[in-house]
Order: sequence, then C-alpha cells, then structure tokens
Amino acid sequence: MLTELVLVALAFQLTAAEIVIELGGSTTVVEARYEIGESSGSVVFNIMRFPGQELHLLVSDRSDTVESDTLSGLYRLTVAPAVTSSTTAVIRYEVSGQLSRIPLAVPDVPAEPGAGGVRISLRGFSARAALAGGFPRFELRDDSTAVAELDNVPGFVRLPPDQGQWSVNRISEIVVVLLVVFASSYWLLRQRRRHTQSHSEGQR
Amino acid sequence: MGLTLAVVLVVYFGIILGISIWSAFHTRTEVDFIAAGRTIGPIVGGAVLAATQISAGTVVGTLGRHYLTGVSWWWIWLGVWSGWLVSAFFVAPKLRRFGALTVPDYIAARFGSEKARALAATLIVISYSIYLVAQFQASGEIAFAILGMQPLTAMLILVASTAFYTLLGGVRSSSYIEFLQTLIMVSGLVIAVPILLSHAGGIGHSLSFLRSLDSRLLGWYYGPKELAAFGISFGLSIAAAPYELTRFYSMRSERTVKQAIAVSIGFQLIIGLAVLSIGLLTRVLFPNLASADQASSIMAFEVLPPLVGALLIVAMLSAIMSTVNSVLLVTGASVAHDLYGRFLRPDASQRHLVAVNRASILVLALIPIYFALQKFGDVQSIVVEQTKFIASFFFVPIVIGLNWKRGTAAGAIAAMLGGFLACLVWEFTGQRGFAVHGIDAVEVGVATSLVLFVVVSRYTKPVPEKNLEIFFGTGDKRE
Repeated sequence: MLTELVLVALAFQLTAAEIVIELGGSTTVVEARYEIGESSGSVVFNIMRFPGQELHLLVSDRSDTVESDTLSGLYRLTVAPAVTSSTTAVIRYEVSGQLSRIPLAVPDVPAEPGAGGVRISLRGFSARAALAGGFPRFELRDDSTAVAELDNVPGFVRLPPDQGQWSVNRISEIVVVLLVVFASSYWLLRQRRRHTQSHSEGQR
Repeated sequence: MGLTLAVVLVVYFGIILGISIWSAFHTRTEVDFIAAGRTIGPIVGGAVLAATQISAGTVVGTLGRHYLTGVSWWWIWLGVWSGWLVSAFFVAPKLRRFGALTVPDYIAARFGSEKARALAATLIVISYSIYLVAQFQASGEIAFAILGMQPLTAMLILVASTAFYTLLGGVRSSSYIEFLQTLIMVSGLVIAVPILLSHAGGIGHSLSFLRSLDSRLLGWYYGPKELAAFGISFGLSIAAAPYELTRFYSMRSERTVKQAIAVSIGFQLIIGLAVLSIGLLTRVLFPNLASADQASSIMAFEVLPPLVGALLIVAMLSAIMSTVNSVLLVTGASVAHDLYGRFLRPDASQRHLVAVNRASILVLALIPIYFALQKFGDVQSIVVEQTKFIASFFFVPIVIGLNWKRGTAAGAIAAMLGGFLACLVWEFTGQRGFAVHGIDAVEVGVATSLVLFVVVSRYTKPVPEKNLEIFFGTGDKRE
C-alpha cells in the first residue's frame, strides 16, 4: 500500500540515477536518487506492481506534494517539489512479500542517450548466487554487492535464481548450440549427398 | 558478452566470405550475376524474399514502433501480406514467364518504350537510395548502442562487408547468404521471446502493467484510418517493389515463385509475432527508453544471455545487410543494365557490364551515408516514406500494366511521373492535414497514377501486339 513519498525533482532529461537495493530476509528497501537536467512543475514516476507483493513508501523530512494513483499494474506517483528549482529526486520504499522481483521507480522523463548514468547496487544477497539469470546484468563488486550500470532505468530488478536451477537463459543457450550443430550437420550431409550424386552421374 | 559477440561475428563473417568466394567461381555472365542463373528453389527463394522484406525497418523500426505504440501497429502486416498475395497472383507469374533481368526490362518490353525504361531506372535509383539511408541509420544506432562505435565507422564497415559479397557473387551469393540470414533472424528473435517473458514475470502480469502504463498500448494507438493508410502504403509498394520482383527472375519457374511467396509469408508471420512480443516485453523491462529505435539493441546487449544476445545482434545485422544487398543489386542493375548498357554503351560485352554493375554498386552504397548521418527522422518513418514513393510510381505500371492490355507507353510514363509528383506534393503540403483530410500521400499518389494511366492510354497509340503476347497470350517462355 502507498502511504507517503518523499522526493523532489523534475523535468526533461534524466542525467543520472543512483539506486541502492538492500536485500533483507522478509523485506527489501530501495533508495533511489534521480538527477534531472532542469526543474519544472512536476514529474511522474511509475512503479510496477507485482502479484503477492506490497510496497510502502518511507517518510522523509521533505514536504513535497505527492499524488498517488494505484492502478492494476502499477503505482503512479505525481510529485511536485517543495523547492521548485530542485533537480534532485529521492524516493525510498520498502517491498515485502514475493521478493524475486524488486520494482523500481521509473521517471517519465527519458535518460540521456549513451550516458550510462544509471547505477543500481544490489546489497546483502549471497554473492555466490549465479548472476547470469538475473535482470539487468549485474557484476560482482565484493562478496555481498553486485552493481549494474545502464543507460536507462529498468522497470524492476529480477534477482538471480538459485544456483543449480535450470534457468530459461541456460536452456536458451543450449538451444542455440543445438541449432548450430543441427544446421551444420544437415548442410554437410546434403552437400555430401549432392557430391555423391554428381560423382555417380559423372561415372555413368 | 564482448568475447561471445566477437566469436559469433567472426564465425558469421567467415561463412559469408566462404559463400561469396564459392559463388564468385560460378558467376560468369550477367544472368549469373543478376539472376543466379535462374536456379533458386522455393525454400531458399522464400527465405530470400523474407530477408529482403525484413529489414532494419523491421528489427529496429517496427520493434521500436511496437515498443512505443503497442499492438495496433501489427495490423500493418495485413497490408504487407496483401501486397505479397497480389504479387503472387497478378504479378510474379507473368514477370517470371517474361524472364527478364530487371523491372525496367519489363517496363521497356511491355510498353515498347526505352524512355519508360530510363524513367523507371532513374526512379528506382532515387527511391532506393532513400531506403539505404534508413538501413545505414539503423546500423549506426545499433553500433552506437552496443559498441559505442561512431555511426560513420559502423556504416562504412556495413557498406564494405555487404558490398564485398554483393560484388563478388551477385545474386547467387546473396541468395544463399540471405537464406542463412533468414534462419538466423527467425532463431534469434524466437529464442529471445521466452527469455524476456521469463524476466517480465509472465504474460498476465506484463499485459496488466502495459494496460496501466498506457491503455492504448494494448488497444488502438493508431486509428483504423491511419493503419489503413500505412497498410495500403506497404501493400501497394510490395506488390510492385523492384527489389523483390527482381528476385523472381532468379527462381526456377513460375510455380517456384508462388511457392516461395508462401514460404516467405510463413517466415514473416513468425518474425512479425516475435518482433511484436519483443517490442512489448522491452516496454515492460525498460518502460521509458530515450529512443524507441534503441529497444532492439538494448534488449540484445543488456538483457539476453550472451550467446542469444550475440545471435540477435547478428540477426539485426543480417536484416540490414540482406536489405542493403538487395537494394544495391537492384540499383546497380538499373544503372549498369538499364541506363549504361542501353543508352551509353549498347555494344558493351557481358564482362564489361558486370564490371560497371560492380562499380555502380560501390558508388551507390557510399552516397546515402552522408544523408544517414544527418538523421532526418526515425528509421521506420524513412522506410514508410520510401514505400509511399515506390507504390505511387510503380504500382500502376506494374500491377495494372500486367493485367490491362490497353495501357500504353505514354500512359505508363504519365503514371510514373504523375504518381511520384502527386505523392511528393501531398506529402510535403497536404500531408500535414492528414488528420483533417484523412487521405494519405500514397493514396493520392496511386490514385493520380491510375487516373493518368487510364486516361492517357485511352488517347494514345496502343502497344504493338508482339509486345503484349508474352504477358497476355501464350507467348514463348524465355528461360
């Protein structure tokens, strides 16, 4: 359920975003700071709603005007800053329930193309977990922190599946290898058959 | 990802090199170079038609359009396939029976006019150079998004590699390479869908999110009037697209052409559904990308596992290369066969014509790079504009000309010029009022072309019967 939101910011291009996700046993806390090129009246953030999951916005000392709208697939927040010249937005929220995917607040302003200014840090999970099956693609920084650096803010973070589990990723890579092997074998066999045919016709 | 992509690219270009060299040994005459010795069968032919149809406009532009506007853009495919069906029943068999090398060959023979041939060849070169701008722009977008490479460098690499295999083996190497490229496109796109779906959390959740994000994504972002205009534009241009029609000439028979069109529609259906799914799922994963054209490359590089991502990147490259290749073949042939070989050096030898064709391909590949760097619009918009022009000046002389005996040379010239100018004028003046008039430039262009064709033909001298025999009678088959 949405209770309150803290943030300020606004406008036309997202120049940087620093998102920190603290994983806990039954809850996960997300703190996201967005730098937006210039200030304007208000900005809209969309936060995806996942089934079996609850989201609580955490209070801070900033007195921005926040309007929230709960739709079937997302929470929509319209934020008007208390300080109109501010270009920074900070959003903190707690996620509980089903935690395989952690939703992120995506601002309704596009990111600067090619800037690579979006940085997501994932803290507190088992560092040995296979990173390959997660989304977006993370790199390990130390035993308990993984980092992803992107050009755009993703809608959510999908935590890597347990080690040893057959992920769709792994299956898809096997399918690719099998396809290549099958196609090459078929091609070789066909060429060989043609060669044999033309050879026997030549002998006749 | 970097190493995997490098390995996949090396293997891919190695195979292309091998096919090109093999084809070069089998290319001795102009018929070999422009029509692969007329040896292409239905499966390879179908894959070739699909590969020429599926371009950067599809894997970058259409995917981006689905990302931005949702499902409704998919209805455009109905227009595309209608165009293919018109081609299969009313155009392809007659053109293949005629057995020429280029579309201007048909124009010249059907209407008994070398002037009409020159006009057709010139319009082909102009309109397809615009098409190349879109392909080069897409290659720049992909290279920048994935490798951080400067667009100019990417375009030059694309031109060098595509021109290399086009120059070396002509249509024969292109056909086998395009067969391979279609298989890569289908595999790469289809395999990506379940991976993205697995990340997104399933179909129900994804649809619910998209509906909440923007209800038009799953409904009617574009109205029926707009979709009809776009669909008609694609359908009319495909029914008469010289770079598709030229490929019919390389197939074994009329029957092969029909079978190949059916196979091609099958490939396009799979690719169309996969592109729709990937576009929508990318919106779930990245709800607010700076540019919709980035959707495909971001998906390949940042979301998919390295091997599948590399396959998808190669699929995108393949789509661009196969289209660039087809366009270069048709524009090169227009310059060398229809303009140079007919008007400047009618006595040129086969070897000389092949050499001029190769030189034309190189020059025509380099010119659009300048325009691609200016970025006049998004990839899909450039593709749409180009299809409107093709439809406006070729649909009537080809589709109606093949099925109405009374059409004359003067009628065909008037139809081509009038259609082109009407489309141009409406696009840059009346088009701004599309919402007011509800009439698109392609409809104005084709209607003008049709009226001029019928009226001018009625009042000018009919084409001699010997020219019409092969298209309307039981004329000899030139194989």
